[in-house]
Amino acid sequence: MLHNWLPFLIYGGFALAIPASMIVASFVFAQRPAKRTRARAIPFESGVSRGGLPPQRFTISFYLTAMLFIVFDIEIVFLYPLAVVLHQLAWFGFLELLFFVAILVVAYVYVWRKGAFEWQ
Amino acid sequence: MFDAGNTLVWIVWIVAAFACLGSGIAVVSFTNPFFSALALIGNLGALAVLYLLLSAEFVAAAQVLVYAGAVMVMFLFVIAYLGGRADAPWAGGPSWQQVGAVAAAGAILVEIVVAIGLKAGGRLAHQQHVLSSFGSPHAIGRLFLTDHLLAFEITSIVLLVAAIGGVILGSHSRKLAGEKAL
Amino acid sequence: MTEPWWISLIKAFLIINLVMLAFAYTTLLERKLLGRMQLRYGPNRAGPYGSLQPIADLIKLIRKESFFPSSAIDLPYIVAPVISMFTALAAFSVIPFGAGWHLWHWHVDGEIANVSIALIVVFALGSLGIYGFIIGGWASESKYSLLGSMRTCAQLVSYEVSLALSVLGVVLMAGSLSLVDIVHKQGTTIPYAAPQVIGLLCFFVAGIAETNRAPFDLPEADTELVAGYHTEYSGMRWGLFQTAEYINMITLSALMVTLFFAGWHGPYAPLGPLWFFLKLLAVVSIFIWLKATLPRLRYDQLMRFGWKVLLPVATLNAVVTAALVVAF
Repeated sequence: MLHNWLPFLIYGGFALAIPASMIVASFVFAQRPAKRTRARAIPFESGVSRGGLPPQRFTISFYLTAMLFIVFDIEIVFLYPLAVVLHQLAWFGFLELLFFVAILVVAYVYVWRKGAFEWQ
Repeated sequence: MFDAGNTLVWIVWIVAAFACLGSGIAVVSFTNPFFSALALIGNLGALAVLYLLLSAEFVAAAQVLVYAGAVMVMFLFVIAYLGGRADAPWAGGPSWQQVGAVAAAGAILVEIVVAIGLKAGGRLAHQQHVLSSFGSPHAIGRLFLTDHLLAFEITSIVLLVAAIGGVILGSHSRKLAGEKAL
Repeated sequence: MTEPWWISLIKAFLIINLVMLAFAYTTLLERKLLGRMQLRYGPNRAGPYGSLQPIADLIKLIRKESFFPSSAIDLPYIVAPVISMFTALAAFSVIPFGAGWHLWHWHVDGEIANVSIALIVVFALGSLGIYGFIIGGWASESKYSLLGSMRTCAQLVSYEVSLALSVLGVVLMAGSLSLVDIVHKQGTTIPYAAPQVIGLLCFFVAGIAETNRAPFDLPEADTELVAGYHTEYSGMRWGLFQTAEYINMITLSALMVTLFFAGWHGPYAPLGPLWFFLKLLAVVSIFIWLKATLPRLRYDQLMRFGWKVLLPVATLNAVVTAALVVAF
């Protein structure tokens, strides 16, 4: 089985070499500004210069999304192996899948009712 | 006899094993939590390669998809966007907690080595031949539906609890923010 | 029978260059098509009909100053675009593009790597690609980059769930996660686009969002919000992010062709890779067509649509398919 992964390794080497060489090219061939001024190098701020980056808080929705993503991602990882053998297992397998999904539907409905999918 | 395939497996194993160790050390020694999290991703990726070498294809892919792909995104979300730099872990000399932690880790290491030595004995050098279907999604799917049926179904309940917990934590802080705004 | 390693090496080299070429001319195709749809010519100065435009773009990007904001954190700032492009390129390795051939007494497979978990490999690499955006946005240490990368990540993770669930129907019907098996199965039965219409639609919509294409191109949103995670990037580093995006689109189109349109199988003539290429071209053109037609969504609409519409529909599709697979 491992020999199946050898081409992947080779191809992955190329896939890494191409962007790496392009990054090197961006150092070697890129033009440099004639003069380095401080104002040039400050990050984009719509024309307003600033001090350090202030500590920021973002809406909780972002974190909730990431958390729900983990839950549903795990669901998918569990469903895939079930899906490949389901046609051999007939109704017993289907009932098991249905039970698994039904409990997650409960979670989904709860999350919906609590308004976690809403964005202000 | 020289076997090119086997040599390659050895090379990959050594690289992955050292990447695993190196990134593990990096996780605890970086002062910036963001870099620690990145090192942890590297660690999980190296572990996936080790799983692959053990013919556990599906587990390796699931490891990358769930841990490196989903859980660490959450970690980075919190670290990168909540801001806050942790203190340097080595600042101010070792405390008794750190000494205790190192001692405990050392004790576990000794225990593992002894356990493996006692259990595995002379079998460490043997190569185990497994079926080509071992670790494939088919094999794992069949296990879910036979030997580990209960564990499979309980997973969905665990996920339900996780979703509810996440929403409750989230709505709590949302309520706080609402009160502040008033 | 497996192919020797040196054939893999040559093939990997050829294919990755073809993918890069396909990327280069997808940019030209996009500009030409967009131009024609807006009643103008599109690029037509560099070479006949503008055919050398991608090369001119490459030279321009490499020569351009690689701006480096003073606040940026060096190493992650440089590495982020490489991660993005590596994961984009690597995902193409499991896509089958032909039946496999016999050359002299060697066997050449019609795909780079035939692994039993190919489909998950694509999704796993896709989810690793998100780190390019997170790291890039964070390492720029700029408010706009940080906000932009946050927006991007939340969108990508939301739609990744629907994307993975929408192909569950195909997996159920084919009984395999190997893309080679899935294509073979479709060759002997019918392309899964017919029985899996809903799955296809979900996959297509989620795929547009996953590859940051219009009308879900909020990560860029260059006209109303300041770019996004790549605000502080310029020159070839910005180019790498863009390249990654186009290659992601090509890979996703290729995945769609593989999963729903029987890959390299085709009616009338066993053309193999040519069929694959033609189908790929058609799907990519639809992506471009959408960009010319649809206005951008608002962010809350986008998130609500992903979680409240796409996810339940994809789940329902999977469950119904499961029932039908078991019943027949």
